[in-house]
Amino acid sequence: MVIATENLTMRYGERLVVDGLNLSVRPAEIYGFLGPNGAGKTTTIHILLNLLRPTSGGVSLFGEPVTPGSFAFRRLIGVAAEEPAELSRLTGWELVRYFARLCAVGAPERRMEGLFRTLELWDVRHAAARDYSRGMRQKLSLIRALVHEPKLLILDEPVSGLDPHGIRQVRETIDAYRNDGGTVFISSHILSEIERSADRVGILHDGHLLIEDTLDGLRRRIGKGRRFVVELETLPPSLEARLRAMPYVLELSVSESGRRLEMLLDDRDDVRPAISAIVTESGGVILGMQSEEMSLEEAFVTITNQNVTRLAGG
Amino acid sequence: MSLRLRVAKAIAYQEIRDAVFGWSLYLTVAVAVLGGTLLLYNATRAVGESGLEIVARPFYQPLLVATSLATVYLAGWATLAIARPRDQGSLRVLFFAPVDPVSLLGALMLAALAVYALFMFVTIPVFALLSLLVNLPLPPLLLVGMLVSPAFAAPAIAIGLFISAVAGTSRGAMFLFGIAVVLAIGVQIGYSALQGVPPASQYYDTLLFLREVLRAAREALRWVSPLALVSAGLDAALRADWRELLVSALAGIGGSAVWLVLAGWALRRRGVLP
Repeated sequence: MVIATENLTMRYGERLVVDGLNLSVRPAEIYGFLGPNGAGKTTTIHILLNLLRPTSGGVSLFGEPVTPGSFAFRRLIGVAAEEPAELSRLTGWELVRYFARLCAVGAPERRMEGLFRTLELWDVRHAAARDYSRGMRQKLSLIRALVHEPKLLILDEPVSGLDPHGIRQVRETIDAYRNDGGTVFISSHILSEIERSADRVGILHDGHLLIEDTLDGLRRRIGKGRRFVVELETLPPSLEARLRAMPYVLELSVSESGRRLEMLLDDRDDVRPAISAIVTESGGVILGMQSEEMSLEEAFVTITNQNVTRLAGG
Repeated sequence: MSLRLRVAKAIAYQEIRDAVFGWSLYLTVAVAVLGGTLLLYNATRAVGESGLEIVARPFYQPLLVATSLATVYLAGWATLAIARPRDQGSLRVLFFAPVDPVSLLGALMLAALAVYALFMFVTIPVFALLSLLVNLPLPPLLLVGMLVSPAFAAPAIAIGLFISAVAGTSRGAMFLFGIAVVLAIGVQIGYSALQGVPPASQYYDTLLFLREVLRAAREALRWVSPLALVSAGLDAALRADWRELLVSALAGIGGSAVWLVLAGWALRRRGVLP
């Protein structure tokens, strides 16, 4: 495992910020670490980097336990977080070179040039970093995190503040890094971005890891996930009742014209042939069928809501 | 080279570069030179007016003022060196690299001493030039004292770093620094004031205890206060009292080590997050 935590717990006084967290991030995967604001994502990252000491539990990075006071392991990690606006008087280029020096990189200029060009900061490399826009600082932060060719890349909200063009550049840079064998740990609340790139996802809520799985596994575990639309020539009288009686039809709505059925299906099995058969048996003529998988956003909301309901129910 | 040493070197280089390209170092040099020149002007005018043809230690006071100013400037710089970037969040970003409290504190101390050396490198030639202009000798013994003076400035830097590490915010750090300076000066002034109370005064007996407390505090400050060490060290150098110079230097180095250890403890405890 690149990252493994065991019953990681962090308390600030009476407040439990991280609650018995057991994370596992495998080599060369993109791991999406999701959670609403205040869920404990950034605190977890600080603990992983040994910037905070947990109340209890332990962290292992690259198979080695992180002990109090250890810091050399950070040479193997690149961290991109929102760059503070109040940087020193350094230019973007100088700032990255400074970090390369801190990570004992001999001649970083060639790699720096590649990264600055990829993320389109080459033309402003000699401008003071504090004069960069928020999006530019975000990209600079990614360059800083990648300059020493780390084995693990930790990204805290990597695309917030970026325009669509910037998001694409960052995504391509992360993909290229992963294709070279790097491991990526992305903490974000921008779910579409995680959905696009993550191999596995962990959902944190109130400091507690609710679920950790692949996106498909996540949908399967929730047990409802496929939105299904059927376009009909006309609505046969018995069809609606017959469909509602099926156990895998969780929700059903009929449009005003009566020619469009929208269903939310339990997608543990592929039930499309069964639905098609029912429509035909009822005398209906199918003009079109369309299915959509549950989005990560829907899965996220479902899982966190389930957790809230569970907690409320005691 | 060990990772810690390499990191400390990189941070120190960056801090020195920031100081050289900033304005505060040059402002301090200008104020020190101006203050020293005024003192020298007063000394030469006093000679002229009194008709005396000798003046004792004409460069002692100007160089004492210059070194004291440099010491206070660097203590103030050190007071903000950790607290301000921590407030701004840039200390957290720095610690994303393989940086630890030991390498950071070592680097800041190294950088501050280098800036002190730079200060002296600019100031001493100016005083040498003044010495030629006013035809008063700049004693080589005083220059020996100046060479040793980084050992007297070091505890001021270490105290500043401790305050910076322990304070909650940069404003809090400056407040603590102000209190430390006021306390150090207050003891001196208070003791002098109490010494001036005549034995016939009705408050004499009541104030005797307080005077003794302040005397003890003043005696302790003699070994703790960087400014007292600067003064005693330069004085010892001028008198060629090598033993006292060495003792003062050792007190400075020992004090710096103690304050640096405390700063390291405080930084670990307080952390690097805003």
